[in-house]
Amino acid sequence: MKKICFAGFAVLFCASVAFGDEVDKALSNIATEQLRASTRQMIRLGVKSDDAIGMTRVMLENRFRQENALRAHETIIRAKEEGLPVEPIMNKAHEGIAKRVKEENIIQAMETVRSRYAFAYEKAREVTQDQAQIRRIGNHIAEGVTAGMTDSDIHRIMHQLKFRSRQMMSAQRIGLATETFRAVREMARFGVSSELATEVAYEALRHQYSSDQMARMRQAFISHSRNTSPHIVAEGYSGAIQRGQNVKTLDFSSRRGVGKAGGAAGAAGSAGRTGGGGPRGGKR
Amino acid sequence: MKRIVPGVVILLALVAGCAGHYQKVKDGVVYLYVTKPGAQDIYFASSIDGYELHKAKKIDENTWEVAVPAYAEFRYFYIADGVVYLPPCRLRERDDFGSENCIFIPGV
Repeated sequence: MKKICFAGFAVLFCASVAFGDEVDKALSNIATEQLRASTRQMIRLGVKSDDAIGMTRVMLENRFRQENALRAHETIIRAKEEGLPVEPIMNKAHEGIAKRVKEENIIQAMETVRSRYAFAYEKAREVTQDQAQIRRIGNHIAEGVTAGMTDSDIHRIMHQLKFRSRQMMSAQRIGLATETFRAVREMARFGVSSELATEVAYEALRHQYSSDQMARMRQAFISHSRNTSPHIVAEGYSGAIQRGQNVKTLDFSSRRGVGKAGGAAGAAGSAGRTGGGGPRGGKR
Repeated sequence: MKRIVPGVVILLALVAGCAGHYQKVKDGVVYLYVTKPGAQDIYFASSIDGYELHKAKKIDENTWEVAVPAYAEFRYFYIADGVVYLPPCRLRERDDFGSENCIFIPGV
């Protein structure tokens, strides 16, 4: 047992020295000891050394004050400790530098990204405790919010999702959540308002859509949006789902600029109807 | 009034033609084209490589081209003559700096 403990300490010590060497070698001439220490901490927490050193170097080369570089490190360290992905946060720093944004605004944007992912992953944990699935659902939610979904609309969708999946097996529930938030994200990226995207998802859930049907709806939406305003397509979907129609068969050919969707046939897109209208998502 | 309408229509057509953006995908590569009359230099930056700036290739008087691997989703924007430029792309998201980024999704 003593030998195992000794070997463990030796490995940790060697790893720490190796990080130290690498960080000192790359940053000793430009970064303070405090900044090098926080770079080492990021690496110890699992951030790739190239990424941690690279981001620090780029910030300093772009004349970031040490205190702001430290704040950027703190945001990444906090994200790592919270089990959030650090790539979107680090990418935000690089993006801000490429856009020549003021360093204070870059630090603020990095914190906004961290906060968004914290919210998204917290929502995803309401569906599952599996880390890989939390990551998948959480990323869809965060990307949807980045594209314009409001937190309150995400709450509404999650509420309906939990109601819809209360008697589902875990895998089914996860599948439905994944496809629902993926569909919502895509609509938001196409410029559909948070309110309307929420209405479409809410109606689909209320009409017992499965994860496969939700995925088909998303694909049909992308296809229809090639020639028709995505807003008109989403409005058409909301109405069609309420009527129990299959969105795939909707014809938008005469409504490309204005108005709403034409008639539809079949009911393959809907497994049942429970009546009533959907909610309206509020803006933050 | 009748004289004004055609003028407005022509003006709108000219404005609409001032900036354009389209893409072609071939053999796992997406070719992004941006039209920006009068631009001297256009650079492309994307999430693929940490927003490094790549000079776009000028293919005619007003059109510039960049080629990017089309295997995975990425966010992007351009820098036209030193200023951030977002073309009229279909898929977008907010950039947390008060503007937006374009998004490329394979197959969309």
